[in-house]
Amino acid sequence: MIEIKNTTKVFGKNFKAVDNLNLDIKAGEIFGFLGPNGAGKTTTIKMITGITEISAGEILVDGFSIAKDPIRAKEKLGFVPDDPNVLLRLSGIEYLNFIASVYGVNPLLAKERIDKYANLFSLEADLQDKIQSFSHGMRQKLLVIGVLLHQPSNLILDEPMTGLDPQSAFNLKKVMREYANEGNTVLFSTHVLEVAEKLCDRIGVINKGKLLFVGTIEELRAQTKSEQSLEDLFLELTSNA
Amino acid sequence: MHKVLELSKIVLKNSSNILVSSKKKGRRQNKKAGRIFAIIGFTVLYVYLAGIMGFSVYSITHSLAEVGETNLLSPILGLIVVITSLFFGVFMMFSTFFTSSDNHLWLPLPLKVEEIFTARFISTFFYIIVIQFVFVLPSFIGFNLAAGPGILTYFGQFFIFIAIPIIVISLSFIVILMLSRIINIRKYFTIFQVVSAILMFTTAIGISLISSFGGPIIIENADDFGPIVEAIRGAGNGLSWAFFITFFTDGAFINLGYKSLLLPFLLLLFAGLTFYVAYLLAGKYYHASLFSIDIKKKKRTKERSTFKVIKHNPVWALFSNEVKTILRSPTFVFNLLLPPLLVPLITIGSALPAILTDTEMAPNVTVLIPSLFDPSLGFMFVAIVGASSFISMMNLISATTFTREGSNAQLLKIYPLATRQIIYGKMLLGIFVNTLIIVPLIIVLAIIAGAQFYLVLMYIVGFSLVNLLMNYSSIILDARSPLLNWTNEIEAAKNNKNILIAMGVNFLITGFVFVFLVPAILLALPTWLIFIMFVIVFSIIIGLFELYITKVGPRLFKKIQ
Repeated sequence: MIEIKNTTKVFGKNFKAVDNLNLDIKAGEIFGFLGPNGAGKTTTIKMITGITEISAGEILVDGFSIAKDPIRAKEKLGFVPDDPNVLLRLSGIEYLNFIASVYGVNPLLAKERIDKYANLFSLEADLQDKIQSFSHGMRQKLLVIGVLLHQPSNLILDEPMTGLDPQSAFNLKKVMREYANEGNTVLFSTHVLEVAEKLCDRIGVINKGKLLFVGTIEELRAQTKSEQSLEDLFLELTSNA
Repeated sequence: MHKVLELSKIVLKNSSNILVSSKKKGRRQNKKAGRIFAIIGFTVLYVYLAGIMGFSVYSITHSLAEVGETNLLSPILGLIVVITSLFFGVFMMFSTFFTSSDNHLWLPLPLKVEEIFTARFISTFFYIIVIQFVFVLPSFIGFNLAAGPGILTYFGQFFIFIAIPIIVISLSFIVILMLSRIINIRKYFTIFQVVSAILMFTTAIGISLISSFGGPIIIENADDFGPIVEAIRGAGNGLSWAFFITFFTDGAFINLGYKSLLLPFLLLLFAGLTFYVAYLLAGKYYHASLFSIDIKKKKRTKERSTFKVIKHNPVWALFSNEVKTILRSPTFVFNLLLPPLLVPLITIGSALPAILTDTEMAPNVTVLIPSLFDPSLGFMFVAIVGASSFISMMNLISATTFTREGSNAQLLKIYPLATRQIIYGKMLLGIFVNTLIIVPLIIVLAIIAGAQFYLVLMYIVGFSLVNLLMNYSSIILDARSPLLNWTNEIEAAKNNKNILIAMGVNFLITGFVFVFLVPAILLALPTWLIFIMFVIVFSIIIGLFELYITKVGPRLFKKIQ
């Protein structure tokens, strides 16, 4: 569960990238974070994961403050960044070993999970190769396996579908659904509105650092009293902001 | 031309951040203070490096002037320009022209290939000129002050200062361009780096051996200088034979009348010619090199690979990643691992011939060294720890820790690890490399001298504290202000200002070690007392760093995002 309370992020003197954001993402749900470029999605995600310092407010991950108790909070988090070019000189399995060590995953359990997810994402034959020889999609899949390896109760993915082939994208969506059904929280940002429409239990639309809407697609339609597509609703919402 | 100059400015900014500071968010006041601090820091560092270079050449020239043999230095000075250009230029040329990852930025622009070539040429040339200002210019000034060869030679020196970098860039570009017509040059980048490193090693040790024949800088009797003069003459002749270019550079250091101007000017003309040839060839063939050439990937079997999962302590896991990342990158190996190895080799290379060729000194050495390892001589502790610190100054592994991670450094912040764990894990390699180089040296020296075991232990503990402090300060500097946006690994490992700052700090730490000479000599303190003082002072400083890390916590990585 992720609780964002009155959170603000100011860059420089007075540029508010995120402005007094309040949001609760519950356990067992998939939450889609939508917004145009520069809306504040990635900044919010970076604050949740501890990459960026919070200027004001508080973020709790399973009740632990990311600012005051970062290690406990981070133990509950798994993050897949939008740029998967990580530790390129390591082999795939070396990277996963590293993740297992950092999160203290039992080696037998780790092996079992690597087997399962590498097979699911068709990466089992590539794990001994260096990450730098992987394609963008393969790197993305490796990071997803890395996150699933330590089974965090909160899964955060920044643009996770970018670069994935249709089969892998389908598998990832399936994993995300199963993961949420097991009682975990899944938060992801996306530009692909169809994915959000089909996958998310709730969505949040952010623009210019302010949260414009939180709820289900149906609630959004009811609010705007229209039968438009999500794309039209999204454009209407963000252009009026 | 305006387009080319603008482009060269961008290429230079993109490929090096030593000279150009990027715009950062922050208060204007802080930026101004930072800039003033940077200017002061660079000035101190420049005065230090240039001072060493200039004073060494001045001293040698002054000694040779006493026996009327300053001309002997001519080939060596000419070669300083050549070697500096080769050392820094060839590698820079290769990375700028052939392995730079910014081709995708220039290819879509309406630019002629010749314009891209010229812009890259100017940026590489400018880079070498800056390096020449550190190593070459002070040597020339030192020589001119002691020898006073005349106004025409000064013009000659200016010509070769400009001409040699142009020749080096042009010729190396032509060679690599032609090679790239036959083979996939990117594929053989590693081989190229290995060959470059071997050449660097050989040249550096060669120069150190040659320079060691210079012996004592101040001589009391000109007759005693005879063998040294002969050695320099021999070395100079050998080098002239090896590098015919010194025939043209001689005029810049020896007053040959009009030839002092003509010979270097001919070199400048030759430089213009090589540039023109390179320019023509670039127009014809360089375009193909701008396209990224995919390195053929290893054919993968579709069989399921077998693997083991081994759980380590997180600090060890971070250390292990550092080792793998550095060892698997030739750029990091040659820029970060080899220089700390090179310094002791050069130091030993410089000292050995002087001892071995001095028939009077050799027997004395065997008597002198053991007598210095006396427990009552506290200054020996300072001297050994100070010398070890000096050798360790070139270890910049910790100084580039977070910079090397590039834009992915932010991911270090998502792991459930304490700031201290990240610092320890990342710092271990720098500490380990220094230990690996210095501790055996201390032990060997102590065995030769027959020093008592506890003295050796004190030296090692003293050095270890300095080692820890150097790595602590370097890694904290890099954590506080990493340079994460680089286009090639050379920038991360070599061409950034954090390295210069870390070297400056290491220099200050080394200087601080030598401060202990004052009580050691003035009060004639024994080793154990100096050791205790040293351990207390350094432990307090290291403790302060620990406190700082604990207090600052994750905010230490504030700029990593």
